[in-house]
Amino acid sequence: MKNTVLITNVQSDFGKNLATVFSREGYEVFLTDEVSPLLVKKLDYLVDTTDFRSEDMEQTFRENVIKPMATLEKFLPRLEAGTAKRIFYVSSAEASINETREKDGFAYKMSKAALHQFLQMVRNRLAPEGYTLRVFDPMSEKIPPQTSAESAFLYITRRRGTENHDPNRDDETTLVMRDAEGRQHSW
Amino acid sequence: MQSVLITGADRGLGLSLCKEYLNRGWEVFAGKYMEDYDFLENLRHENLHVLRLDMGNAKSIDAAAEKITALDMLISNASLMGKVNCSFEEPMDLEAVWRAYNVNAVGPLTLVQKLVPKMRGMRRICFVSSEVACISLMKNRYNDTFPYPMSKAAMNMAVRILHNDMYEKGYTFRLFHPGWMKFREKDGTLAEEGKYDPDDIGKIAAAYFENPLRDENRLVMVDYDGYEWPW
Repeated sequence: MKNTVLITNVQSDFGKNLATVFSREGYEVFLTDEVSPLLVKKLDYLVDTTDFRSEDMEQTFRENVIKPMATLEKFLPRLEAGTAKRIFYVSSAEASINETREKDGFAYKMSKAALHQFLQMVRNRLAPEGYTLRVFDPMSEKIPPQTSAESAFLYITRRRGTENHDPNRDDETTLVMRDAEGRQHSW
Repeated sequence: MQSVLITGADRGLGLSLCKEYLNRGWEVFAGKYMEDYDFLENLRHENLHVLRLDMGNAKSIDAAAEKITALDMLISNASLMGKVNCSFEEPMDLEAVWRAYNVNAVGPLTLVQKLVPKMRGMRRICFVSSEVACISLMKNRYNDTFPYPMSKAAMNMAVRILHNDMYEKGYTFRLFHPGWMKFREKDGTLAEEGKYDPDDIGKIAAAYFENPLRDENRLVMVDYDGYEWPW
């Protein structure tokens, strides 16, 4: 049976390219969050590529946080029926409280900080049931969406280990953010 | 006379901070939200001005800011905790997530942006935050609701950006984690639940907010024991 993936926000270049990569690799791909859960029997990967940028506080929060929460809630029973149980979100290193040196862009960065904290609690809740999470910075300003989609595909579908040291050591229990060039970012 | 605005001054830490700064000879603007608490009015101090202030309402924030002409220090203390049902076990109350974010993160930022042009002297901007704002320490922490930790993480981010922008312009910042304080009942007695008397934490917080630091260029979150918390 084919692995299934649901990808949201395929209007974005990154989302579009990611859908292409998943299809090429033989996954059954469902697009957009408009699709009814009834159509999807089981879901292996939930890939939410929402990354909304605006200065409007409420709109940005609703797009970047509330909608992804609703999508997760809606499809959680389908993920339960799948085997991979992996959930993916897009963020940005500039939304790291520790790292950012930016002086504006409140609405976007605050919404992502809230999302990060939500995902920590999701991890706490779902990790015992075998779920794993991914947070990814596609580096859209710096590298082409094709490249970052290839990078995201591997990050989503491979086990995340501490590769350089012991390939068998699994590092899945901690929530981390990685960028398209494989760097890990602090919260 | 130096002046300070304290939000969420109806009770708890906000009220304790009002008393503390009045004792220190400051002019205190106190943000009042709860109709049914009159601790503030009962302080009856000539240097105390009580303002209606709902941190979830931009118009209310505008109106309160209008009444202040000059300010040395701003203390954003108000926050919405509220027991909300937000778990996967039952349908999530997503509007509760927005409400907490609006009151705890958007409101304080809006207030700061309104009042910055009126700040003078010390130019200090203080925020009461929480350990549940720490994203890196959230792993395996028991939490029965989503909205509050999410909103506090967002608030810390807002403070980080403000600090990045305004430190060079002469503004200094404080982020404070007060610990688990006892709730004060309407009759003035302290509840059993909780670890600290808000008056004791108020003394610690007031000193931390007012005293200069050696390294003002660093933004840190510090708790009632003086320990630094990660983000």
